[in-house]
Amino acid sequence: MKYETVIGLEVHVELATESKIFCSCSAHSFGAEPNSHVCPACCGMPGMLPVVNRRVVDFGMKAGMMLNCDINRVTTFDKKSYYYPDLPGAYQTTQWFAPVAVNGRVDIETSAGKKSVRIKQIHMEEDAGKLVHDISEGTTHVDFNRTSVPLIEIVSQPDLSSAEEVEAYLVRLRTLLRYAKVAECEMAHGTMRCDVNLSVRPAGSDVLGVRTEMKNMNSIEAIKRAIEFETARHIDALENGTEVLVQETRRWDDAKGKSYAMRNKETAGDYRYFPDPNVMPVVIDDAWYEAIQNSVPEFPEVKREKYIALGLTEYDAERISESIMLCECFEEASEACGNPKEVVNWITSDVMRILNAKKMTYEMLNLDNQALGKLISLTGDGKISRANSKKILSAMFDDRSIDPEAYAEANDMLIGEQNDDMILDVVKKVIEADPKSVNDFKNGKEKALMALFGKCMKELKGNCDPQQLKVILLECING
Amino acid sequence: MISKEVVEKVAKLSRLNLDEAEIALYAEQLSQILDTMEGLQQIDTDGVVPLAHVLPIENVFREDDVGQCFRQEEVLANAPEQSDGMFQVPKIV
Amino acid sequence: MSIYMMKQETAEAKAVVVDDMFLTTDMPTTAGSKMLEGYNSLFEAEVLTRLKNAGYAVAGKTKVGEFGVDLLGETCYFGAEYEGESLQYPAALAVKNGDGKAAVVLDVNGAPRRGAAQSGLVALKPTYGRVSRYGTIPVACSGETVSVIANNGTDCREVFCAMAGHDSKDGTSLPESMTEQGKAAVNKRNKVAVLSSMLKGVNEEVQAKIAAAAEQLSKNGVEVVTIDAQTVAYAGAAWNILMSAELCNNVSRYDGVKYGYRTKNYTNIDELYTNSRTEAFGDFLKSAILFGSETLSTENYSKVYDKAMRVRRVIRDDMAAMLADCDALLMPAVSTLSYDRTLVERDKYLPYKENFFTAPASITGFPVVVAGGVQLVGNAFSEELLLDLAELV
Repeated sequence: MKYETVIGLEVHVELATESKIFCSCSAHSFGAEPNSHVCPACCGMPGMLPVVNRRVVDFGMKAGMMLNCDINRVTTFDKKSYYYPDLPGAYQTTQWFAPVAVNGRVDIETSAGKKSVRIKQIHMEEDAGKLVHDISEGTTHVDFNRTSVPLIEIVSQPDLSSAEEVEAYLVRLRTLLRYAKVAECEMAHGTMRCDVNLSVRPAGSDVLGVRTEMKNMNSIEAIKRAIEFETARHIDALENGTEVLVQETRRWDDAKGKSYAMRNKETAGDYRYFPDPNVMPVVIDDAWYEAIQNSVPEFPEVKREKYIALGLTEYDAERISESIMLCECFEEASEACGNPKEVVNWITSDVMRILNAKKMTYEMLNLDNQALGKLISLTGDGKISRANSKKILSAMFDDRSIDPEAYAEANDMLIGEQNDDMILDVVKKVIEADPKSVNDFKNGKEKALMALFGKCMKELKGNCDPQQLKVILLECING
Repeated sequence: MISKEVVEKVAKLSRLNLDEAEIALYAEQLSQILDTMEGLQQIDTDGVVPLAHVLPIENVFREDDVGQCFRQEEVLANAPEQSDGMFQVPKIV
Repeated sequence: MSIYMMKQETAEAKAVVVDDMFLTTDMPTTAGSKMLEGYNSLFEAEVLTRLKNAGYAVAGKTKVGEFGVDLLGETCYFGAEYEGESLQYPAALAVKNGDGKAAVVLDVNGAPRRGAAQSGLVALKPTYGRVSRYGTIPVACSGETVSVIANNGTDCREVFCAMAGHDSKDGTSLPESMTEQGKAAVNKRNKVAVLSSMLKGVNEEVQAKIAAAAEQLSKNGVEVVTIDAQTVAYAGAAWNILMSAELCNNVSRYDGVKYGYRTKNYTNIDELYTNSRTEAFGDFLKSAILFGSETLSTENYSKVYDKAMRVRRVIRDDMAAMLADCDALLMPAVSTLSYDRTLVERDKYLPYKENFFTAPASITGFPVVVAGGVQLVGNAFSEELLLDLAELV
């Protein structure tokens, strides 16, 4: 029999705010001492009261708009009760009755074609802490640095049917949320996490099979492996009766390539939601809604088409529109120098090379894009040599405040208009000192010219337009 | 009337241990309280919006500014058991 | 038996006592529970900071019933206070002793008002949101209010003014502009309504207090009318649901992991949770937790919790309508002027019955003054008007 897999995803994304959702502790504790980013509010001590971080709502709305959701103009926070040591209050403040965004859509494309994945809802909530297990001691240690870091949970409808589609969906989510600059979405950092709800049924059936929920996948590759494994396990159970499928939460062990039923988690599962009396409703008026709407960027496809219209190749347009940081770099630098094609050459060669050397992702790009445009102009105008411009670009990566022209001037890299005479002097000196090379060149040895050229360039410390130098050098040699 | 099973379920959810006598006692008490609740059904609330907050205020926010956290030793000062700057509990499987 | 958890000498001329629901950094805070025995807070309640800034010293912390939800403190793990066979409210005794100008207390379920009514003191529970709850032990957050008990209205007013005002650390704190607008909108009608539906089950002594208060008001030129407000009589039932549910959620944080009592008897995390809570919580609190948990269950939420929130709006709107026409609603604070030990020990369910009288102000957030053994419930922001009326009864 043929089977089909039905998959819905719950994706948790940490929002890129500075502070936590309900208190002013820093939201960035990656690598920090345990329990050093904590106050009585976020470690469950009594008496401190939650006050909502406005930017969390901004980001929640913006994420909703990126995923084509309807925004609930009145959105509220609720308490969800369960016991687990990483949850210090034994309740999580989340959104149950009126989440910030509902009824969205994410479009994906795979080898199976185009598909729309429906988004049920996006809700804002607080993250839990981290448990560190000491196997030898038989104890677990609790670190609350991550508690109350703002999250959105993006709940899809069960519209996905393969590991490939799940990958396309997650990549698309990541691109869109990064475009909106609301989240890092780095699975390796835990800033994007994904639970997979999966069931299997005979192809064409409209009855859903037994559903399992899988957790603990730390990369898209792991998610794909988990889906393949779980699908096979379900089919095996249906086909061969190897086991009886039950609705349960399972933990993916990527090293072993297997999923295991989780024990010891709250099983009763009655979360007893009710409105949080300490958090007043959030009411989104037109002005606020429009302000966020106006901050929503163009989608990648729109940018790509625009770039192609500017004369970029499809390949380059695709590469640049992959990341909002590259888009901004391209657009701002192009505006500053008026030469998009030259800018794209710089980005795809020098900029990407430096990013690569520094082991930085596109999202970490932090250049002054206008200054990059200026550098490109100066180089194009022959004011800075290509070799020196690379040095300057490298310096601009380290120091965002560098103005390329001032930097070139301060470091003797600027090629002035009056330099024709200076170049001539240098060329004459070099020719005089090396008559052998001059003769060699005249006798047809092209290499000899390169030697003379190199000597001149060295004397000039590179501050010379190579074309210009070549012209003067040839003029001198040929008398 | 609230059954013993309900009391046991609720006690488990609330992480409380009850002996047989307590279960019987609380079943009776809870029933009594729920009886008074029945009275509420006499108030017509069709179309009434639930009132979770008595104040007519909305949109209470703080700006996204980072403030002072507490020191690790302060956070752990009241901890029954700690280890390596963390709260310690029995092994979670 | 001491009425204090801790008492301290103070050189200041102006002193107050606070109850054990306020977090202090120089004294432990227990909320009357074994669970929090010896708990040292890292920060102090906002009202204490404000009172200190206004020149008040804190002379001591009075005992409270476990998490402040009982009658008068009878469920306090550290001992209840009886005079003879009559149950006493520790904060009221402190005021009567002259240990401070006032007692600053958290009114979760009416205990301060019952205490003031039975001791012949004046109590003010202000409009919800006028005094910061930052640094109070959270129990029933949607209604509990920092309140004052004093010998007279003048002292109540003075201490209330010293601690009232917007606090950005409390998301339910009223902005100053709204308070000013609200106060300006209070119109004196010179009229008080006795709510006949609230006289149910009160004994003769209390009936006499109501009659005396009405007479005094009349004598002083206040028109006294009687209204039969049926919905208000359901405030207690609705409040019991909301309060217990919020309590259940708020005390779930006490699990033996981060602070507070931890059982010695555990081999896994569930035993740690369950045995810590079972050993540290008292019977009445447990019943409130169980009840609260049940009201929020999936089966009961819409029938019970959601219904209670709807009833809350009906009562709030009905009372607001009555208060548009008069200055205050006159009603008892208690069914009797003394709770006998045998009654308290026999009827564990008493705090759920007796809050019939205090719940209307708790559930609506309206201000209330207790004076002459009765309650005067006013419209939002009418504290001044209520304290003026209190002078007359």
